[in-house]
Amino acid sequence: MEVRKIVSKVVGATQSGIGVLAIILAYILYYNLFDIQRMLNASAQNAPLYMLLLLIFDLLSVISGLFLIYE
Amino acid sequence: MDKSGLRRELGLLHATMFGIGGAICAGVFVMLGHATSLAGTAIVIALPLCGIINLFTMCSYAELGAAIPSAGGEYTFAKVAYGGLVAFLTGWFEWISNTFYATLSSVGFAYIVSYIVPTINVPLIAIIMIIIFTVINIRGVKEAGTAETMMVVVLLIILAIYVLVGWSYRSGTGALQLSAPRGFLGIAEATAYIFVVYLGAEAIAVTQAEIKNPSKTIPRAIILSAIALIAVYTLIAYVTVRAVSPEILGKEVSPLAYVAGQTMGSLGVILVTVGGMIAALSSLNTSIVAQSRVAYALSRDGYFPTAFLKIHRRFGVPHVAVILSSLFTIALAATGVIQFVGYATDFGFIIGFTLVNLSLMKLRQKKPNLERPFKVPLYPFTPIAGIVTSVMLLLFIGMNVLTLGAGLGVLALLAYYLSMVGHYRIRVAFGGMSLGIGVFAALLAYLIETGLLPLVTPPVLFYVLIFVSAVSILAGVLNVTTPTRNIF
Repeated sequence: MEVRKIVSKVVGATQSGIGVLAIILAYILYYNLFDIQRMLNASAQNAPLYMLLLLIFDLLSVISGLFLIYE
Repeated sequence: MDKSGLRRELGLLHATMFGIGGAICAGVFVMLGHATSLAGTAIVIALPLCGIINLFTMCSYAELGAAIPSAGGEYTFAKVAYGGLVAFLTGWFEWISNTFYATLSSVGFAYIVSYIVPTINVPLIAIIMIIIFTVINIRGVKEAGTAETMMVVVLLIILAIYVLVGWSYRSGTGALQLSAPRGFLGIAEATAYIFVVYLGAEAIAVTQAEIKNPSKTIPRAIILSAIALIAVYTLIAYVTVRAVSPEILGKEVSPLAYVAGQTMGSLGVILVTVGGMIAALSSLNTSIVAQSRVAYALSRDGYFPTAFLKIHRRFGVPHVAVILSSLFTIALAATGVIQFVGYATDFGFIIGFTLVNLSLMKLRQKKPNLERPFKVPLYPFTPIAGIVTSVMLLLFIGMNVLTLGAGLGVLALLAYYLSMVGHYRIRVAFGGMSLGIGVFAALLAYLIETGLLPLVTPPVLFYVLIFVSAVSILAGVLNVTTPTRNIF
């Protein structure tokens, strides 16, 4: 049981971290900071769509991660 | 100290300043131009009319705030009167509208700064201000109250200078000719448009658990601030339209700064711009206090996670609620979208006003013997007038606001039923979604690597997708196979 708890906390923290990074990436992509749209070959026209998808992903990841952290 | 752990540290002055400071936002500095183009010089009728509509509901806030002095404001009133879904909807709209109002204030501040320094990054400045006021609020409600009092006093001095100089300024015949080019409809549209400048004074009711001698202080502070606001706004409108014609004001981005430029020169422009900044910051401060207390109350009743309930040992404030609510505000402020936020604020507050009046009427029937240190005069006329006028304002605001409100309502119902379902099922559901994301990421990585998906992407994306996929699948399995049903 102790091993599962540790694994849950590590996986939960990693997943939440991925979620937070996704939020930051969403904003960087949306506002095209550091010319990231060109680096990722992402068109500016589709930026709102990428932002929406990344925000949904980050919301799910952060909540799922928090469930594991506070198990 | 209140039994909840919150400290009663706000006196009549602090509480009244919370009300005035909460209402005098950047709106009056920038919205008066369009309002005068709708109502003409009859804006001097529209603004007191807004104030009277506001006063109807403020009387209900005063009665309920004195009779039920615990944290949460409208939400707590609706909970005692109706309970269940109605209470949750009230709290939800109150929390959302205060979050939007905090965003509006911070972004509004940044836009005012951009008049002086056009090169600044608006979202970044807004975020910095939210962080500063979050820290002030964590330091304690007394510190937040002192900061508010100082800002409102300076703001009132600036507005007094504006009114006094404007009063002695002579333009044309020097007398104000009342005219409404679009008739009553124009005055009604201006009333609906400019009503936002009265919103925020009800923050007194939200902080009631932290007010000294609440049964006397709350009604006095609410009524005092509502009357003071009518006087302040009417005087501002009078000197503004007397100095400059509505046709010119309607074209100005910052009409008060323009009028100050006419009456006081460049010093006046600077003075009014600084006033606009202070107004934006004081309403930001009030809305951060209000949103965190509503989140605290929703958490107390199990609708929000229990983390929001934590009270700071040293400062005696719900610091987690302050931080988490501010994070939502920061996320909204980062978009810099001010128009959407403005509409959302209007809608949320007006729905809140309607529900408060309904709660008052319900409680008069349900609990006739409840001790009421203050009673709404001319009952039931006053709350009915509050409901009717609030709903009428919604009709004049426009269809896009109603659509937005319907969306927020659906989101509220979703959140309510999710909180009713129980944490175990929610966790399993999130585990399932996590598994789905993991499988989707793995499939995407496979398609990119094999060239079946014609995407030109950097090689590192493949490894990122594999990592995300592995973590998501593992998290999904752990959540779905959770051994306990007692989560949180």
